[in-house]
Amino acid sequence: MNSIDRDPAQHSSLGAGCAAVVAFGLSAFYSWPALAIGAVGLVLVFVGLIRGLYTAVTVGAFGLFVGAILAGVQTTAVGPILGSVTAAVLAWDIGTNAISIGNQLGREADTRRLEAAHIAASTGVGVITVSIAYGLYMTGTSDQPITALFLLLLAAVLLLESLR
Amino acid sequence: MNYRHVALGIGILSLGASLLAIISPGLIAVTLDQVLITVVGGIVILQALRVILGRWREDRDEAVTPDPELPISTSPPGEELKDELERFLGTKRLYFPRARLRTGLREAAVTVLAQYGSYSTAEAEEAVEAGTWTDDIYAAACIGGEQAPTPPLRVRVQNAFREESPFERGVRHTVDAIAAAAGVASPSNEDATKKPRTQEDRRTESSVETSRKRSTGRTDDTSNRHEPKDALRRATHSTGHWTGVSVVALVSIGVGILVEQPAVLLAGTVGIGYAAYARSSALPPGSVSLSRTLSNERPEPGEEVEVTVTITNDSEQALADLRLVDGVPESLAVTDSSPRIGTALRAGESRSYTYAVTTRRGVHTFGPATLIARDLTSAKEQERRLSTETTLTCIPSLRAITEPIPLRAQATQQVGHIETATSGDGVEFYATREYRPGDPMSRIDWNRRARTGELTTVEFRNERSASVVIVVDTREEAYVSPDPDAEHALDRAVDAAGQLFVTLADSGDTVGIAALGDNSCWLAPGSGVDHRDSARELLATHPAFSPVPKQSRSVLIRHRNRLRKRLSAGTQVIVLTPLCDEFGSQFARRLDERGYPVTVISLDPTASQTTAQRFAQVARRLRLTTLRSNGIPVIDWEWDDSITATLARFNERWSR
Repeated sequence: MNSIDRDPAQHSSLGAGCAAVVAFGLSAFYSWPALAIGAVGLVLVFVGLIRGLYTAVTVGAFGLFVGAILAGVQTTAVGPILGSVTAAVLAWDIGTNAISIGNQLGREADTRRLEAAHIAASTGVGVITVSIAYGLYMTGTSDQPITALFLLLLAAVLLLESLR
Repeated sequence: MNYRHVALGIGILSLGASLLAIISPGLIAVTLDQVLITVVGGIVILQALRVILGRWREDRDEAVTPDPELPISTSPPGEELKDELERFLGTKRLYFPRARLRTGLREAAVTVLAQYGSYSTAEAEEAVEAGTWTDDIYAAACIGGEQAPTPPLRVRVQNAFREESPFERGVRHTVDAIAAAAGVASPSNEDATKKPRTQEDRRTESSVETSRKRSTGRTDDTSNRHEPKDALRRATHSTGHWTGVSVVALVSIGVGILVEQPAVLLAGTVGIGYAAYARSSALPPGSVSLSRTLSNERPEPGEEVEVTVTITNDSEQALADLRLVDGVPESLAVTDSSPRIGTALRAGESRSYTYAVTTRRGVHTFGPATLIARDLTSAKEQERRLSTETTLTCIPSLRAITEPIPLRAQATQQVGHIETATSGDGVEFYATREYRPGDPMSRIDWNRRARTGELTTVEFRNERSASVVIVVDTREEAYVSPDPDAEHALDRAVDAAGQLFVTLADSGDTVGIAALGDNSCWLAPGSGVDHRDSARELLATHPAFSPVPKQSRSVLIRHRNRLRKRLSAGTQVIVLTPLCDEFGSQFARRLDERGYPVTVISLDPTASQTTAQRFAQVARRLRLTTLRSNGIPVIDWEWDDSITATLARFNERWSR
């Protein structure tokens, strides 16, 4: 053995790839710009996962996210957009973690348990958040203006940023 | 700090406002007009851009793991041509690199031509100046004077389009021509001036990594002995894994408010969720222990030993992300599976994994394992050292070789195998002489007595044993090999030293062992079973013979003098050195001058891929010739041959 195979961890790469495809699939068909940007993002994520490039995965996942937002601008379908954004974040998280495991431990090491724990936790967070958001959307009535939602979210962001 | 306070204030305000808006929708809706919404949306998006830029500038900060599983890689002699040329420049001071190269090559050509060609030194100088020493027009032009032939203009124009510069080409041709004159010719091509990509790259790459890995693996190994068992290498720090996740929230909210689309606005919750998740990260101060077992602690060389590592979570909390790299000894290469694992452990849980190493001679101590612990989110990371003492000892048995070892004709007073030029009690016929009263009856040549009636006495050749010290060149320069993956010259020399030791001891000589380069390695000549055991132990385990190249340069002149003082008069010395620099040959010459009969056995580790390596071959050849011309027998040991075959060839040549 003359060198260590430092390709991204197998299972996480697969997971990140699937998440990227889901992110693309859920948003791409609502608008042409979303399709274009999402496709570029998808390709970048794949390239990053194959070559082990953090930047490609990050930029690609950001592309998928922008695609989802563009799709959201042109549609009122809340479910797919929430799913697409969550999948884009998951593709980024799991993908960069795969590269990190590849760099630190290499492909030959047994990392299944580590990857499984990380994927399960991140996916769990995503599912819970989407459920809360969707619940908020469903229970909200039309007379509660969008302003209230906006203020609530803004408050959450600001508090998170300041209470670090 | 101020920014945070402002953000906190606005955050609390907007939280209150949103609650108000939910409770009594009419109250707030009128106060928020389109302009304000646009301004706030714009500010949020600007903040998102700031976060993106911040993410762009900030790199991930992750632990870099050592690579202890890689085998030791050594390179062939001849890294830089200018270093090889140093000896030919003598005290000449030349500051321009090209002038240095040219002058060095010129001197080398003169030396080689005077040594191996039919030139005297003066004639050689003239030939080089006039360019008549070689048929190669580039070589002649490169180091020749004004009258030397130059390549025709047409060829020069053609060559201008090649990758190789004219100077490089000239140097390459010159080295080839010198090599041909020295009799070590082998063809070269344009690639020779380039650095050997595969090897060189890997070497530099590995040396970068090595310095990193060795610094984590081995050098700290010694200092680590005094550290507590579970040493923290780097305290908890952020990995930057989640840096910038708030962009998702900011962009969604900013865009969502501008276009007034609930779907986009709600996507902000996803961003908030993950940002909160990343913030929630806390690395538990868990304690982890490690144990290591070997399938065989004293294996034979070349045997595969299975290493089983068990990692246990001793704390009360689950540890979600543990990345472990075991401290494989630098000298051993992992041949099966990987010494790394990534796992998650519940409280009190343990997990084992197995990998295999191939054993080689020496004492191999496993260093501390590197543990990278992260929390579930991967946002925080901590680096630890887990030490556990494990040692693998491999002492190869010493095998005798069938060939007699060519020693010089100087002997002790003990009866042995060296045939002296004196008569005495031996078994081989030496001479007859006239009978003298007192000669034993058994020595009288009775056949002659019967034939002629004369009384004559038969004398036998006096056979004496020798006292031999085998000196192995163990300096950093001896860690060379023609192929980075091959066993290096020192390993083979130590192996050969063991074989020579046993063979000499079997034939009744008293044999000792010393290392050139380490003061403390000295086994005085002796005999007997105990002595043999200590030699075996010394060759296998003494740090001087360690298979890992030493980093430090020792004060060699003092060591050399010390070694010389230890040798008693008349001791034979066998020097095992690759002769890749001047020191080894100088050492042999000095000893010989002082009256110790020296035999040099030199393993040839040279390669011929690059110009510098080819020149190193020439330089080595010159050293061999110089030693031989000083009357020191030099046994040139080809890399692919065994020591037995080499000695057989040498004995055959000299018995003729």
